[in-house]
Amino acid sequence: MQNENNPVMSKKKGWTILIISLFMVYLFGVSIGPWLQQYIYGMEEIVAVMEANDIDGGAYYYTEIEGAADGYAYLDQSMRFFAPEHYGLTLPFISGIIICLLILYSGFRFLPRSCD
Amino acid sequence: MAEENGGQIVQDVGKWEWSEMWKKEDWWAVWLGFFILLMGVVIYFPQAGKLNKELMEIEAKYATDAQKTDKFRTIGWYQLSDKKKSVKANNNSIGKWLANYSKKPHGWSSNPLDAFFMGEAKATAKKERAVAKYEPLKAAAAAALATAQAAEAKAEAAGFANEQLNEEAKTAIADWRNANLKASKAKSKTKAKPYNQIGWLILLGASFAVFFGIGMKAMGKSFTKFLIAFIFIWLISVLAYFASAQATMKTYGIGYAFWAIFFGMLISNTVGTPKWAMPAVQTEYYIKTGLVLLGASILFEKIITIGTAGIFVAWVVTPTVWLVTYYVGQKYIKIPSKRLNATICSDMSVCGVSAAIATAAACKAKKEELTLSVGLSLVFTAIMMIVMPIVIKATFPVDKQLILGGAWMGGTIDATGAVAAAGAFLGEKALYVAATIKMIQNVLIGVMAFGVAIYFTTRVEAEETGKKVGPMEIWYRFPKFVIGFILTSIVFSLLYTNFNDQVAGLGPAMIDQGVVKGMGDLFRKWFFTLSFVSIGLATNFRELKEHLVGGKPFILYIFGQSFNLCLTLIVAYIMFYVVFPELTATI
Repeated sequence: MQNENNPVMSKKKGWTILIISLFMVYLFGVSIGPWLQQYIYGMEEIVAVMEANDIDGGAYYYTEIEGAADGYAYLDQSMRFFAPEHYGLTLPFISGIIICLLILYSGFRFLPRSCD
Repeated sequence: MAEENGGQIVQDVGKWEWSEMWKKEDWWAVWLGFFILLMGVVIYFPQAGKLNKELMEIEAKYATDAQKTDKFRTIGWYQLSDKKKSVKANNNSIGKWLANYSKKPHGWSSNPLDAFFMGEAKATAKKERAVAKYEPLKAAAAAALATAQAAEAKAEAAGFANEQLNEEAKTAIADWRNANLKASKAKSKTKAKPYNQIGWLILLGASFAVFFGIGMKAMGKSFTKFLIAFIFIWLISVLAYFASAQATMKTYGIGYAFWAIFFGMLISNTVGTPKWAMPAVQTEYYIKTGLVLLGASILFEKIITIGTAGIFVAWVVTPTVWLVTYYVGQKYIKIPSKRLNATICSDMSVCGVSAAIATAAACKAKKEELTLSVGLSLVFTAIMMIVMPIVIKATFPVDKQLILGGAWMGGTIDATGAVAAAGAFLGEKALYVAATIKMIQNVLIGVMAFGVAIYFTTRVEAEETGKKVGPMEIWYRFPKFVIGFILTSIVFSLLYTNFNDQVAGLGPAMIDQGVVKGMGDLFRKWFFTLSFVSIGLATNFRELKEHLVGGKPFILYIFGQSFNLCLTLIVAYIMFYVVFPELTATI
């Protein structure tokens, strides 16, 4: 049953720790976490904002957040209507991409072979 | 697999054989990822003509109103934006079925059963409560719209030349937007329906078992053993989503990646990972398939969204921070593993968990190195999500809080969810700027992963093996799934641009709201969860502890993030307020 890499632990102890840990997680979610919120400065306000805007604080990527799609629509339309001269592949914009690629190329090319 | 190759995220390949294309998991990840995306194309692309027509009609109806003045955003401007956003390729019967089929456990607060089941009576009661809240908000939004229309008409009658009338219209429109936002959020809660997620989760798990099992069989492994083992991995993955769907966990930003690793490690270090489950502990296989799917959402046209200022904040600062932190990590902090150093650098400078996954896979990091990076990111993200908006509100001039503050948070907080929460805390504009800067950084994942793969293949591995690396050797050693990852990004970027060239908004409707959200994303998160569960199940606390000796990863993260905070703030200020103030004024 035990994976070879696992520390030696009796079955009884292992199951006890596992069950207690799962219970602690549950307890944090339904009781400790909400109680703790009131003592973390600013947390209550952030929670209210997240609830009002239906934001999942655990999202990792832009496609998981509605605000990213809304922001894209808002800014894209703003740029196209109000600043068309700045929209698209302008010279300063392309220079930004080239600088990024140059930094990466130079960095990866010239990082000392062994800097440790 | 992770155990068999020393716990590396990517297995080293010393020579090339054509049979690799059907015998190696790198290639199977590419084929499986391509298959899912191709299905998305087949399902959603036939709708392009219909959606094109819808968008044309919306343009014809609202474009004139939207552009009648440049003094402020008119009601028509917002209506044009709202109507375009509602055009989605996945808004059809197949898209809805796929969303149900791949759905994660539902949100819950105190009753764990709510995550999987809701009866008719409870759903009806929930709906009635939501409708009762929605009705007054709907009426308030309608009243605010009427007021805004009247104010705009007055300003228009004066030819938009009267500053006071323009300001009144602007204020009335802003009030309407706030009322409209509240009403639309309340409306979404009126759609409460009864559900039973258990059947769907069994069906989805069985489909994934067969889907990945086919590749396992082709790679010479036992199909039956994999299927049996997969049940265990699947149950922990569901448990991870179940925990992340809990209301408190969501507010603390503790997402599925954390829970998948946590539950996996908890099991492996207490009762032990059952031997019969080991055939499905396939970290690399799941992670690489997920990354090929991720490639479809790395769309290069997205980077023009916020113009030149945004590209400098997201694309010039990020690689600079990455390289400087990596150098300091090796030279001064003396991080024992270059792969751990690179993974932490990406995690901290690019965009947290997604970047850590891509970099770890590209540089062949060990599973505990990825675990450590993800853990660091989660801790600092939670802190920064709360501290940064408070600092901005307390110290920034009022006129710079939304855009400069938004850009600063978008460029420095790792996870998108936390960026959105911190941005929304300051205001809608801050949310838009922060989320967009983060989105542009997300696009950089592809470039960074490719650069890291090349750097580690040509330089680090050459140094480790003491061999000079020729072009063929680079090809032998190069992680092949990166090709699938980059290729999907290029193909979908071209398709996205092509759709947008037909009519503005068709790209997001077809790609973002079609193949990506209606197909790739539905499965990608599950695949990452399976890989994180596998990492947890194969990780020993003692192995992890070895990397924490001397607190070097913490020191590296703190140094890198401090540098990132300073540089991002300086560049954002220069770009948004010194070089392109006229662009900033349009936001």
